[in-house]
Amino acid sequence: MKTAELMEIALKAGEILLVSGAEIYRVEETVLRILKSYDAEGDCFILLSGIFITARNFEDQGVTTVIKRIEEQKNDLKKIEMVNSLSRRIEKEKPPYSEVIKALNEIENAGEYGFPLKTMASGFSGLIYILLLGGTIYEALAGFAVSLSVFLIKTLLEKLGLFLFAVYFASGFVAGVGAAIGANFMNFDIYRTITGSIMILVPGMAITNGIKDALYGDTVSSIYRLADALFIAVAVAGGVVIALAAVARFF
Amino acid sequence: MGAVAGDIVIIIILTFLGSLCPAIIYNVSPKRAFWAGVSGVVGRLVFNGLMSSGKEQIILATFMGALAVGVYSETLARILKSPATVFSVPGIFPLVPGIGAYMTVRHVTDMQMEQASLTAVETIASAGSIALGIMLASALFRMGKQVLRKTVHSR
Repeated sequence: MKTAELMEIALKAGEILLVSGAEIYRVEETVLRILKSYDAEGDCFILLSGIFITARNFEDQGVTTVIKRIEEQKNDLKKIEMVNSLSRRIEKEKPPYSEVIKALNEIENAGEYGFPLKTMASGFSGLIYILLLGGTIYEALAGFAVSLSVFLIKTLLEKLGLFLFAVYFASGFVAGVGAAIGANFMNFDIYRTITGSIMILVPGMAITNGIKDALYGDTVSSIYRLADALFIAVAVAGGVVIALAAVARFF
Repeated sequence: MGAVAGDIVIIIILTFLGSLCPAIIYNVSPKRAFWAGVSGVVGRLVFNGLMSSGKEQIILATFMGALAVGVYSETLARILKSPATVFSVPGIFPLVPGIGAYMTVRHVTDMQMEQASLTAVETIASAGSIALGIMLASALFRMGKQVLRKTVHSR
């Protein structure tokens, strides 16, 4: 395989993984595995904000370095899984360039669950967690509505390109207002309704990957991810606090 | 006894769905979504089992629950050949100390700072024990892999 083609594959695989929110060690392992599979040797250095790969191809003795700046971060476990199984296949079968790049393009454009399904899932998570906390069915139904609107607001604000902090603050605010209104007029237990409704805002991916990065010695990314999780928690709490205070003031 | 068994069935169903919903939001593929749901059930059952012996066990119960989620995820990752994160991210949702976090906020708004700091410490400890549980599980599996590799090489 030509050096340029090899670098394109390695970079693209790493980029998809990093953008989808994979752990740093997984990105490094995948890039190095691809280089090794096609008779090349190299090194890579991965940050959450960029990929640096340098390699020597033994086939044509070409030496190249590529750098790619990564701007966005999403959470997409399906793409991580697909790249993971592709890299296993590359190691075993060493398919030609055209086949690999086609597979990578397919992964990059792989669909997510539809927006309606995601909205329903977030609504139901509010309903389920209220029931788990011992809430009544009416509280659960209110939680469904609040959780659903929290998700809609969050998606809308993210689309508008607002800061992360503002998005989560507003989402927490919506949850607080919704639950406080329910508590005032319907005599709901407010703690269950709020706790259930903000479950979808829990930064599960940031926490889990932050821990794993720390374990593998990628301290910079780990601190970044855990700080992200902390910021989100503080923002949501702040939104809830302001909402509760405001509702208490006006009713 | 029948009531207890009924309760357990309800908890299993609820925690399964409670992990399935985050799995959908994080875009876990349909083939793996079922196993992501089971991950939450495993963690929550361990948590509930330890919590039944007393409410003061919450830190230990959360830790053991997270450890169970971690071990389950790493095992399944090796069987199904997919990243452990697919199962562990949705799995920790039923263990999140939501009530503690809410109570802390509530005490702050009511200006009860002493109680707020007590619940805050409890919440942070619970969250930390989730982290520790997941960390320990993947550290154990990683160590096992290295030991295995060394013994294979020395032969």
